[in-house]
Amino acid sequence: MNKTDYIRYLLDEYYNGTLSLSGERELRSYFAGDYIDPELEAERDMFLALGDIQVPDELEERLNETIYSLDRERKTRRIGLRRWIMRAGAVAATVAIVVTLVLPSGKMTDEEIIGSMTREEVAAHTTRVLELMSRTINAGSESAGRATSVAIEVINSQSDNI
Amino acid sequence: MNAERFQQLVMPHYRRMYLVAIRLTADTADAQDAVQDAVINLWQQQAKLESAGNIEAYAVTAARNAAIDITRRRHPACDIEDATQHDMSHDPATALSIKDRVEHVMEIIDDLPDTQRRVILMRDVDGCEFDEIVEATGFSHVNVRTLLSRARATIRKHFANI
Repeated sequence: MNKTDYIRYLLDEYYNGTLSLSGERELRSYFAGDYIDPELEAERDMFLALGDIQVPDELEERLNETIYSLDRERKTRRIGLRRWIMRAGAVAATVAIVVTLVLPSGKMTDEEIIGSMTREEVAAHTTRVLELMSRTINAGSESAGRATSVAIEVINSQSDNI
Repeated sequence: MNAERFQQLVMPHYRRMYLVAIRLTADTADAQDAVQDAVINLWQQQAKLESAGNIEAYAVTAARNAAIDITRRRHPACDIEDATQHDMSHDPATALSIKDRVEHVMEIIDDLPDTQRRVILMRDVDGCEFDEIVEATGFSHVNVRTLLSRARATIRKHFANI
């Protein structure tokens, strides 16, 4: 049986509705090929048309893969957002702890305040305190001097009266 | 909505989506891309999909819109009717364009009696085995083969008259 006779045999089976799926694929493949026996040319457009509307086998798998890929992408995005929220929360908590520890509160003792200062800050505060003490002592000695002068003047005037 | 639920809603309609897309794009690769784009669009509109009364109509409309977009993108100078004429089969001088073939065979199939249309779509579009068609339709094996034979004879007659 030559090729054309074989195709004709498949066509008879096809039109009887008895041809297997693999036989139908053979027919479509033949009519989609470069050489078609001129005697069978009339069948070509019909087989090409039926081939055109046949849903490709790979489409279902391609669509399922697309759906799973979209699902994975969404899950990854959700995990990314969750991680971002967790990281932001961790940063916020760290900042809160640092602020609490670094900024002096009203309940801190003198030792704690001094302990939280740098050497330079301690030196600057000490200098300031000493300056204030010095000014106070100076002011005190001037007052004492003025009081002494007044007292001497009073004593002198009283001794003159005596 | 998870991937499994989305598949349950959309995948039963992908063959109809493909048929709409192939009629508009007249290109199997473009039609598959259009169906994939439509599935991605449907994924992004899951809330609307859940509340859509007729999911098949919704999915087919998405495929139609995606097919039109793809055709316009790939053939920007043409309108949708002209654009689908671009892909000719073997001999442009004598052969029908893919669009003509697809339109023609789909019109013939649409005009077939319900039972014949159902059987030929399952066999020649979906590629179902006879056992699957028997199970889905409830017809006997003999009935399925007879309906298929009649449907194919009708299509052959129409193509012979072109």
